[in-house]
Amino acid sequence: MALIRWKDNRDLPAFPSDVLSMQREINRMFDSFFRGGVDDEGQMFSSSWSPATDIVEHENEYVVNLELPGVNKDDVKIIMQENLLTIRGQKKEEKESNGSQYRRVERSYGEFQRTFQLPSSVKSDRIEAIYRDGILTVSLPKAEEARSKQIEVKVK
Amino acid sequence: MTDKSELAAKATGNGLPLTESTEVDTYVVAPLADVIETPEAFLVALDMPGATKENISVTLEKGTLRVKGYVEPLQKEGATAIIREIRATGYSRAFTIGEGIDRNRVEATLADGVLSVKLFKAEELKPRQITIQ
Repeated sequence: MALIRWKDNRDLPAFPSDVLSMQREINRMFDSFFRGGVDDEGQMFSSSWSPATDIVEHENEYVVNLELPGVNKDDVKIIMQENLLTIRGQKKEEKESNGSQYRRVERSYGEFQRTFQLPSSVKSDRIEAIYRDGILTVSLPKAEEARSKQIEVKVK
Repeated sequence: MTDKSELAAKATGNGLPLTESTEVDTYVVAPLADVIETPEAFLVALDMPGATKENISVTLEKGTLRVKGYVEPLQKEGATAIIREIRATGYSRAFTIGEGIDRNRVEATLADGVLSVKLFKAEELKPRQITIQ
């Protein structure tokens, strides 16, 4: 036996806390059970995973970051409709070949989709996206009317 | 710690038992991993988004393969968070390596936030074609 206990998918001997590892495992089970949603055409789709996302608001733009490790950037689609931002794509499973086989699979594969409603309108023609180190960063400049204007009010 | 807060209290001169911490929150997660066995090696693929080559260390010591990394914070100052799900500021995970691994031959590559560690099998584990005499 070359690698001790690696064949057991539920057992994570190296993780520092058994409780945390169990919690993670349960979270994953729930996540995989409650995935899916409705696409643009109102059809049900099943999304096999849901990448973690950060959205922050700056004075002039919104910045969206998604964790997409191992995803080919050509497999990612970014759609802006009204003020709904949809990011979808897929992570292709590496094919088993030449006698290679998976001994443990924890990472997510398949299609993903996430949709976010932005608090205000953006300049949809000026949206930029960069994929680096497994993180997709989408910058969405705010539309002029959405920027906070400072108005001085005179006290009578 | 106490010294620090005392100093801070002195510096502000108000003697309040409340000072701002200069410590950075850390949230180290165990990266999710796949293990693939090929005839000559075991490939371990770990999801470590946000970590760069310079910020990752892979060590093999006394039968333990240890992978560590840290992530530069994504957020710039002066931004308001709307959704915060990306929590990891660091990655850490260890694997126990058995006898069948060639400890002198370990390769690691990083691409698109995925660290791949290749552990070559020791000679005795490799499939061997036996010639019939």
